[in-house]
Amino acid sequence: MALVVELLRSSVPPVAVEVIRLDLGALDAGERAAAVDFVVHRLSTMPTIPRAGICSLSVVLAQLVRTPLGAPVLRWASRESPPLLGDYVRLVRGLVVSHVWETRG
Amino acid sequence: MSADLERVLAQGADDISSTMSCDVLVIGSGAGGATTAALLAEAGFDVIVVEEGTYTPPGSVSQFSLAQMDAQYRNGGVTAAVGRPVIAYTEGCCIGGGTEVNSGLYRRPPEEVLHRWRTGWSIDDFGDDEIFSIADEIEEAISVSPVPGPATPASQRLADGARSRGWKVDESPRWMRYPADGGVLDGVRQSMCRTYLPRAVEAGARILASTRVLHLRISGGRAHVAVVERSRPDASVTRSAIRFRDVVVCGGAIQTPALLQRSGLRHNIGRTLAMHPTVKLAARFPDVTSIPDDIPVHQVKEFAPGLSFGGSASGPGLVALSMSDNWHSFGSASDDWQRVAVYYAAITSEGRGRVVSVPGARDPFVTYRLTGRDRQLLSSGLSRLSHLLLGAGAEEIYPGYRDAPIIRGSRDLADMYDRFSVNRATVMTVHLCSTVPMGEDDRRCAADSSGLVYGTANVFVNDASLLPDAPGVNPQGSIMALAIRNARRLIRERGRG
Repeated sequence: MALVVELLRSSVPPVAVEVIRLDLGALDAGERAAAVDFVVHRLSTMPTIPRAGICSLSVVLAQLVRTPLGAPVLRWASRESPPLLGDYVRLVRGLVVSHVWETRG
Repeated sequence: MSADLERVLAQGADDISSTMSCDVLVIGSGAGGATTAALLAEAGFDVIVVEEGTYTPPGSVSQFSLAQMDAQYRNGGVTAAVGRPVIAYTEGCCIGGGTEVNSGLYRRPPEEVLHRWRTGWSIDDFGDDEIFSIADEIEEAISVSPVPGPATPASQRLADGARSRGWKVDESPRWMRYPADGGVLDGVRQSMCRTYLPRAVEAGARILASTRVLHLRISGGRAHVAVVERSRPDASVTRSAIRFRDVVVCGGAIQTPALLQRSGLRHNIGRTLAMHPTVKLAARFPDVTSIPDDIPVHQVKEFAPGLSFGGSASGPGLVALSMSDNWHSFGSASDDWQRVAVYYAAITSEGRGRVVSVPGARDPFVTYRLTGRDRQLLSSGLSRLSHLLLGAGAEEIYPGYRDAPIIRGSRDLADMYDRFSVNRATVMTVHLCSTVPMGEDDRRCAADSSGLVYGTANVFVNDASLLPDAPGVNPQGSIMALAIRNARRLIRERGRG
């Protein structure tokens, strides 16, 4: 459990930042950082098995977004909503917009 | 009353004895658990209620906010049934359970639903008269009433749209108390923390918050001990046991079957999860429509029970969330969120899901499969809802699925219908039931007509899990009516009635 949360903390931020860049456009740095923290927090409190699945995907995607393939894969996942990967992108995107628009007041 | 509840909760937190005992252990404090505890305590039973969540004083967090999700929802509200598509769901996890966080809309169980349950699942002594007499009692206890004066703008829009199409629409009453000169926004929710839990406390029930039941120890078909884990504010956890004569499990349609499975009970348990899946859209109107912390009370029942329309909470975060699948084309409308309201099309699904407790995992694994008919109904539901909202004066409609077009007139509806795919939609639900269905037909039921789990002598279930299938209406009224009926049967059976 602790290992999964640690892995989420390290792997989700780069992926979330890329999803924000591709799907949501410009957010100021403070807003983006708060939203990413919120995404990590929420994913860390998910039920055990989905959290393990999200963690595995995050670890793979965190490596992928460091390569030139990262952006095209995420863009494709966002557009085509393939099982799991599409759900992951939708979840991250939904958490980010909820947080940003609720906390903007 | 709530001061007594807080005092009893504080006493419960201080009581760290390794073994407690009682006549009846009630697990869960929501619509099923609170009513069960109140009736049993008032009948003279020594009752302990355990609740995994914490106590949040009613009204201390904004309704439908992220702060509320942290405080009162299980897993921060990020829970989902795995399938194609994934279906997001939420469960309350706090003193008072789902009644502290839900819409507060009330419906009696419909007559045809009671008939279906009685005949289809062979539920004995399940007469309409008894259920409706209990419904009368509930409606008084939780102050079920229509809103005073006009409903909110988002609700009025829905009603206007339905009337413009000649469709049946009505106002769902709510369990709210309104001051004599108050309006629609002045209601005070009559959740379990304000109604049945104070009654239970007054009759002597003890309530333990932050207490999770790991499993029940059962031997020879009789449960006698619950092994519990109690969390402290400093994050430390202690394990202890609670002894009882009878146990009533009221953890809701996901947690109840999971606990029974962890306790070694599996017969027809967790195999028939039912729900009301919904798809959503946002509609922008010419004037201010949205009220952040309230919900429309009108519901469109023209196509019920298969399909119903209603309104959702529409604060800025939730409006933005409803547009997030198409942020590049819809997102700018979020800046104008006061003019935008979120609506849903809900179906009574024919699909079923499973709740499976996995050894070593704290939470159960939940799956759900929509049928072809469900998919068709969700698709036509979104189109019909859009048609209705155009009739209500919506300037633009933003359907909740990937690659949806913006709807500005009737000519766009065909395009919307053609492009819709459930697999690309955000599907969610807040109504979960039927994971321990009740009835005398033990080939398909997990508990008998009183909620006694088959194969046991003293393990009862008394929550949404018992509903044989999804009722097609807001289920809290049905859950409470069944819970009160079953609690009275238990009281009689144990010689206290």
